[in-house]
Amino acid sequence: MKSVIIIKLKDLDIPEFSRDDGKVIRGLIEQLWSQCDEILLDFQDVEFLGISFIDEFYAKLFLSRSKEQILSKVKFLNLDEDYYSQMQSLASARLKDKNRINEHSN
Amino acid sequence: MHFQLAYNDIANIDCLQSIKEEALANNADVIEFDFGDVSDILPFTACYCAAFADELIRLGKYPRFLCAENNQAKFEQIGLDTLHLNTELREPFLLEQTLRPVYSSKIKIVNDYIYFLKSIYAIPSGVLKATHSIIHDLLMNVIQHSKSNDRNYFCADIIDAVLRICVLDSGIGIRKSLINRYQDLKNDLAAIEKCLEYGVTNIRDSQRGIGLTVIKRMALDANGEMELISGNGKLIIRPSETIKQDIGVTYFGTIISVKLKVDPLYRPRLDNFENGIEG
Repeated sequence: MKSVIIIKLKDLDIPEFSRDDGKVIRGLIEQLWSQCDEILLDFQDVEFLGISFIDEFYAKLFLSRSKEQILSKVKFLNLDEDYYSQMQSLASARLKDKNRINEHSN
Repeated sequence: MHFQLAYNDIANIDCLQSIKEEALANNADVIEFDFGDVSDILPFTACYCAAFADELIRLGKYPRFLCAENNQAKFEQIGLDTLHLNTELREPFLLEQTLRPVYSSKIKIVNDYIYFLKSIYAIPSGVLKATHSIIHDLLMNVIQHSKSNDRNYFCADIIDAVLRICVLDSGIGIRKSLINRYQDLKNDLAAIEKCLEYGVTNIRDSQRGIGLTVIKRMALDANGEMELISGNGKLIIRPSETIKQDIGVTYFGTIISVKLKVDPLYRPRLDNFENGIEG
């Protein structure tokens, strides 16, 4: 059976949904990564999300892990479609940036 | 001292800045700004006048904003009344100010402001989400980069089916903020253009600097525009054109205005955003 850890954002003390807050959430995801098959982020009662928060907590995961790993591990619940789309777009930008840096260093 | 202002005057930074310089150089205690012929006050003008009024009050002067009787309610809602700027005493306002002590609750300020906008206008959900993202990220930029010790202002309003947002600070400006990291910036306009590039930030090795790129994209997707003023540079970005100007006066700080067409079909999804970034 698949092991799932649920992170309810409303239960966390996220003061600003700022970049710094996003970094904390990404840290939590990294910390839980090896402890389960799936990390489910529940956005219930979270009405608005900031650009920098999304970039920091989600898109930056793509700098250190593969797209396949992330898409199979990190899932969302009660997430607005527009914000989901923003997450994937910002993640694609990070991936492009990562590939560009890798090409330069090779 | 009395300034009679027309709509075209108050929508332009060069005109407002000239008026400001003239008012500051004058010895008069009471300075009147007569908006009697103006039907709509833009968020940009509201922010600018609020900052200017605060500056005059600090200098011991008494700014007065005069408006036509049928426009009184609008001016009061913005916080510009016939006596002086008085945003503390009346709520809610279209014009909001942030002060350093309340930075810790800025998300609440932005959320409350969005709920307030929702209460007075029927704003489509996509436009509302974009508005929140834009104000939130612009305020974050002010806090992290402007080094402003003063009040900063933001305002949003719908005029002619266009949602207009303005965030104003009286900080160090974009060029000074970036110059340590990007030493080849030859003028304010170059700095403004630079700050819109993906990944440009004054914080080394931080992998930040995407907010303004995203805001620009949101504005263009919503058939709107983005305007940045800092120092003596002004950049206007529209879907069809980019206008670069030396405004001939110097604004010490940064003013960013964004227009979004109030379109129920607009979604702030940033589809294929990666195709528009450098590299």
